[in-house]
Amino acid sequence: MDRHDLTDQYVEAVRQRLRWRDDVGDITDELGDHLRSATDSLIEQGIAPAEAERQVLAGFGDPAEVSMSFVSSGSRGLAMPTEATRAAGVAAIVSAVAWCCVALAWNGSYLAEQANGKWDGIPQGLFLAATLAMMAATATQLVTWIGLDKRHGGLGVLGTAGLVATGLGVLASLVSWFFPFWASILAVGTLLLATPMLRRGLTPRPATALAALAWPVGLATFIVLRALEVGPVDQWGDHPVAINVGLSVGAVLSATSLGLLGRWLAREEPATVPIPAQVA
Amino acid sequence: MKGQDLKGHLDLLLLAVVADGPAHGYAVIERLKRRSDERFDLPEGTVYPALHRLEKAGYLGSDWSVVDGRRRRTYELTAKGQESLAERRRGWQEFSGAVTSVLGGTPWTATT
Repeated sequence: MDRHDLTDQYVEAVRQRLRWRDDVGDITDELGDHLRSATDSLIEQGIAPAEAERQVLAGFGDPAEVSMSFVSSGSRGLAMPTEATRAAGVAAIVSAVAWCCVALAWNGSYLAEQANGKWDGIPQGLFLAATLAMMAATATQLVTWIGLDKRHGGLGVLGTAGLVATGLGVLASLVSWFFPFWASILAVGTLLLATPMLRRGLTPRPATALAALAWPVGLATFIVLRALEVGPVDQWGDHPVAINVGLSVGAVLSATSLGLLGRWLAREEPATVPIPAQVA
Repeated sequence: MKGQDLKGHLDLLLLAVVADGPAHGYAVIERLKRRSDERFDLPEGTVYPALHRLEKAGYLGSDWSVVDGRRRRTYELTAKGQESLAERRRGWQEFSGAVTSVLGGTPWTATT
């Protein structure tokens, strides 16, 4: 057995626990240098290599404890992938699919009404489907943002404000069918959340930026089409084409960004991996 | 003395031993042991996060070199670290003096 076999296992155990950090190589190089220097020093004093290594590792501390002490001191809280953040990734993918369903069912409802010339039967069924899909999309989107907040070890005041605004947006979407109303609140929420995320650069930047822009772009599309008075005016005085296209743009962009963020989150291995028995 | 007892004082102790001259982590810990007559019994691995924290705060600087084929990080006290050490020393002396005074005035024999 090599004189540093256990040391290598120890360092690897720490590396596994901190592998999501940019400076993991520096940390393991530094700890490895300490452990090997200390072991060599004891061997020079006449202690058998295996016993020297055992003594040094025992004095260095449990690798889980050592790893966690780096976490609490150098990474703004627990900014690490966990089972919860991974689950948030799955929620994001569900949300992406749900947003696509919202756009399809919403537009289907309108088109079916135009084709049938009446507001019952298929149009109402599709509208109900769009509403249910919207509930699923906004709720899972909120779960995703909470997961992203946890993944960053907290996103500060802006992130907290963003979560509150997103939560209000979710509530607004449940009580109001007027898309510009709830989409504006969601837009503010995602902008507030995405700003600290982009600053930290932990998440994929294109997906994060797209998430921030999705609803502002959807709203801008609505405003432009509404100003140009594209399409007919319905019985409630609304411009359905402007609403449908604006909502669809926002929903599809949201779905794309959530899909990308979800894939990233869901693929991360939780940092809480077991320590090898020999060095635990 | 266990690591828990050193909580809150570790930064001062590390600054004080690095003030002796540039040293890598292992040497810092060896100095700490030697100067405390081996009284401080703390998990050595937990000293490194404290060194990193002090570096991040600007009290320590560090440089990398290669020794025996291994990358080695060497720490040294910065000007800000020297000021902080002097201030912490004064604070500790005041604190320990006050504690000693209080303990010295306690009628230990009457209560034991």
